[in-house]
Amino acid sequence: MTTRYFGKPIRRNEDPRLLTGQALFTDDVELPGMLHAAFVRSDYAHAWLRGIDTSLARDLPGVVAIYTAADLGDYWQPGPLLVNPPPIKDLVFNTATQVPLARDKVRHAGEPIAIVVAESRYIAEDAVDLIFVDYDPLPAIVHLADALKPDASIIHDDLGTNLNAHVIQEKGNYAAAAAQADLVIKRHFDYDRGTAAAMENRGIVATWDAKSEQLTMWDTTQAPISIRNGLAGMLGLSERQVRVIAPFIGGGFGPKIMMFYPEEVLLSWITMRLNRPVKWIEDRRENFFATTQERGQVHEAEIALTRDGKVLGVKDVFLHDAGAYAPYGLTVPINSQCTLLGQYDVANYYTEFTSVFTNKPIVTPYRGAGRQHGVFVMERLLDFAARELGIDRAEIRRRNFIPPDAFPYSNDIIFQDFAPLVYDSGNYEPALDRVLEMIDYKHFIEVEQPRLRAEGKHVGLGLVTYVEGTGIGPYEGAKVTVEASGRVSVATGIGTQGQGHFTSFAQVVAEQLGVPVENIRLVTGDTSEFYWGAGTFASRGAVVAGNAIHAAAVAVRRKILDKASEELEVDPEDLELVDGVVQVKGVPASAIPLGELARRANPMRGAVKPGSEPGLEATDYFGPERGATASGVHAMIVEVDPETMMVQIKRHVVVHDCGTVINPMILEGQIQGGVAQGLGNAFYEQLHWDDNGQLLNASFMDFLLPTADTVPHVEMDHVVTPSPLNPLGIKGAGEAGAIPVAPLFAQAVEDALIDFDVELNEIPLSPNRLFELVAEARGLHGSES
Amino acid sequence: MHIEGSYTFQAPREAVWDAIMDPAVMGAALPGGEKLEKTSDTEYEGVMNVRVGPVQGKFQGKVVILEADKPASCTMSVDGRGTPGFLSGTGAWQLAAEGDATVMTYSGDVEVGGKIANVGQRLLDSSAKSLTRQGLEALDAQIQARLAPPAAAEPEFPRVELAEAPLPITDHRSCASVAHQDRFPDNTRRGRRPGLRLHRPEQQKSLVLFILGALSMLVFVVLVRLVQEK
Repeated sequence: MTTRYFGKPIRRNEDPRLLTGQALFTDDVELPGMLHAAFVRSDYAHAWLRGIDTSLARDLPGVVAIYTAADLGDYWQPGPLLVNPPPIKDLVFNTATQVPLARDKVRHAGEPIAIVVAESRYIAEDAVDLIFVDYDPLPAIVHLADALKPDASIIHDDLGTNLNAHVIQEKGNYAAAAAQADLVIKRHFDYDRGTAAAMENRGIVATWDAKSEQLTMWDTTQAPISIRNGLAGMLGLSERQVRVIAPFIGGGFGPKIMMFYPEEVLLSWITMRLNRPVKWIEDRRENFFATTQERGQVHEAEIALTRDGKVLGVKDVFLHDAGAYAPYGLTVPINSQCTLLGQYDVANYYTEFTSVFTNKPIVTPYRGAGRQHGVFVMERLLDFAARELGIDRAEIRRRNFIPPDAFPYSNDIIFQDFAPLVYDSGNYEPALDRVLEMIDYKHFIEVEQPRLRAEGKHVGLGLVTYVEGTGIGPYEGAKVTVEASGRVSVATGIGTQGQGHFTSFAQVVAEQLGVPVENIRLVTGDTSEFYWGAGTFASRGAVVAGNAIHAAAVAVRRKILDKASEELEVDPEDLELVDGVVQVKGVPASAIPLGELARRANPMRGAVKPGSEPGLEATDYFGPERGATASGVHAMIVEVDPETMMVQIKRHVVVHDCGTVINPMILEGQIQGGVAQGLGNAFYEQLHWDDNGQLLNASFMDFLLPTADTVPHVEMDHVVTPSPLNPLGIKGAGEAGAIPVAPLFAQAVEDALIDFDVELNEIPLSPNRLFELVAEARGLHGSES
Repeated sequence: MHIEGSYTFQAPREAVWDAIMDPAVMGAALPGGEKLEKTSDTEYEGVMNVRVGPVQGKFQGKVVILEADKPASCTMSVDGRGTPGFLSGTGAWQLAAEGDATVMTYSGDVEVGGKIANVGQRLLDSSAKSLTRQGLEALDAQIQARLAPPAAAEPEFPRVELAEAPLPITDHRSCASVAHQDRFPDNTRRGRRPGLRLHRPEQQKSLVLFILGALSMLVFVVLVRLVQEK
């Protein structure tokens, strides 16, 4: 009997290295003669640069070089537009991408102006303090609604407007549907900006070897191959001369896939000029400005329903904050548009957004990448509709689910991968039923909640559903090699930031080759190990790279069977791969260890048949036709202290469907982590900007993150609806935990505060904000302070 | 950031006005003030060492008198920049005679940016209040010294140093003293000068020597103890 590896909760291969401090992170890279970089960053959110005086800093002993935009010459170029706008009719799109160092103008606080390279970081930082920048301040655009006012200060003067994009997408005819509706509900929703706050900040070590003409860069990027290709182009090098290594990374969450960050462009260029290695490690305060952010949107939405709760149509018009530059095109707002309808069969949908430039850090996808905004709007609208119509909240959702026989289901609008938004598969009712059972829904609302309320406790329940478009193309690839030692090496181009790739990908290979997972060595994110790929984003690692690895492993399996059938003179059909050997089925005496077979496949003498390849190795690729749609249901029970508005999460239940599961333990970790991040967004985290675009809480002293003592242990179960779009049937899961937490939290807290008659239409909802909202609802308008 | 308050000087209005407008007096009274020069009839330039929580650094600044109605009122603009960030704003103050004393009421709006705004925010309000109060108390002391009989007066104005950083976050004493001041924003009791030490350069020198001496004695005693215990 063959041992199964796929689908098992196998412990993570990488953990011993991580837990004993042996894993290489970028800051662990120490090279002889290494220099250190620090940046002069703008104090102003919006200002003309009148001059930069570096003379004092240059005189500081230990300072090796200082560069401003003027020193970069022709190398100074705005970054590439990473994602072109999708082919949507009448779409308006104005592009403006980030620059390596600000030249004439700064457009957000923290934008880099000059880079100092010195013998130590201490000296570099001291030198930064000696550089005088002459600013001519301009009014800053901070609030979205101000960006398009006629007298607004213009951020990109060449555009003459702060409009980044305007997009309308339609399915059916909303106006006609609303005219026939029994009930139309309209609301305003506010979803504030957030930062990923990865445990590891960004960092880069770049080194140029003049003798071998090789540039090597360790970079905390989620897309090492794209960075290599881009750098080679900019630096006039062959792609083979550039090696980008994304080693272990302490959390990516999206912002680490920006291209290019100014630091990447600069350090690679500087090491070639100075012929010495250069290191830059982002500090925490820099991270609040220099790393991209996401989330800021303001929605005006309405929903039209029949008396019995059937949704006839939804209309949503929103403003999206692109930040100072928009290198990622429209990915985030398109995701908001395309995720809003969720699991529901809605025939008429009007969605319009306006994306505006603001004097705040750049916006790029961050875990959820716009999806949670859509889910927030839809789930909140359903809550209000349920209340208005006197329908149970689980029931109103059930009545609108897309039925299981309706897949593939088209929403007739264009998704972020430029393909029409078609859900490949789904089966929503079983997940809802399972959640209701796990949280004991009926008992809680009929017995438990009334009993606790009678005791004076403020307890509430939340219940929301969502979908997640995952695993989009273009493609990933992998190379699988059986070594003479019997160990198997696997290389793929995507980077890893803690997802457990070393284990789950090894399981995919183990399943085909019958080799224990611990004998499979995986390399991710090193461009010298695998040449092709796109990157880790959009919950696509397991879907796209996983299937590429599967394809390569299947090819190697075929080679093993062919070679062994030659050696053993039996039909390949009669062979099996078990515990690192290939043998005639049920005849261990006939076994050849895979390492021995690999040696025989790479002979020192004799003839290799023409047309055959040496070794037991294969490279293969996988590109899905379009994204696979994962889905899930979350439920939560909270208790709110009516005095302090502190919220305690009593239970959090998730039933999730991401198709076939490679490793349920890793999947649960992903969801648990996502929930923690979603909870942070919903409750703890808020970036406070003043009217001049100054961030007032750029430290963990003032910016609150959820911690181990506040994040609940998530109770989980899975429903499996395999995706027909890839051989393994996988859907992505990376963002699932984070996406629905905001509406879940709002609904649960609102339910707990039912006596106060407060509606929660914004995120985040800190205790302070809850207190204010309750005071407003009571007509006190915060006078009780 | 908005600052407002009042302060009572035990001196006539003209004396208070003259002291404020004299860069030698004002420069010495500014907490952390390193230099203040009058560059024209209505302009002053200076350097001030500021520390708010974890942020510390020099501000180079310019004060412009926008409107002056001697000795009753004045409005001015302030523009400062330095390694900790920038500040700019406008302020106004009025002097009203009250018997032998003069009551100053002041208000101002200051825009703060950069490091000092990013990480010093939670301390900014209280630090600003504390700095203002320290400055006014020092100014009061300067005025008293000016008004004192010539024989007792020092040939030079005593220099005012920040006794301790206004608000190093780990220093509970100074936090407490600021909180205390906040509770008495209109403190007219003269002589109470929390967080402020006045001393002449030679006193400062002898103080340093004394502290060094005391420290070395302490180290010596500890060492002797350790040796004895072994």
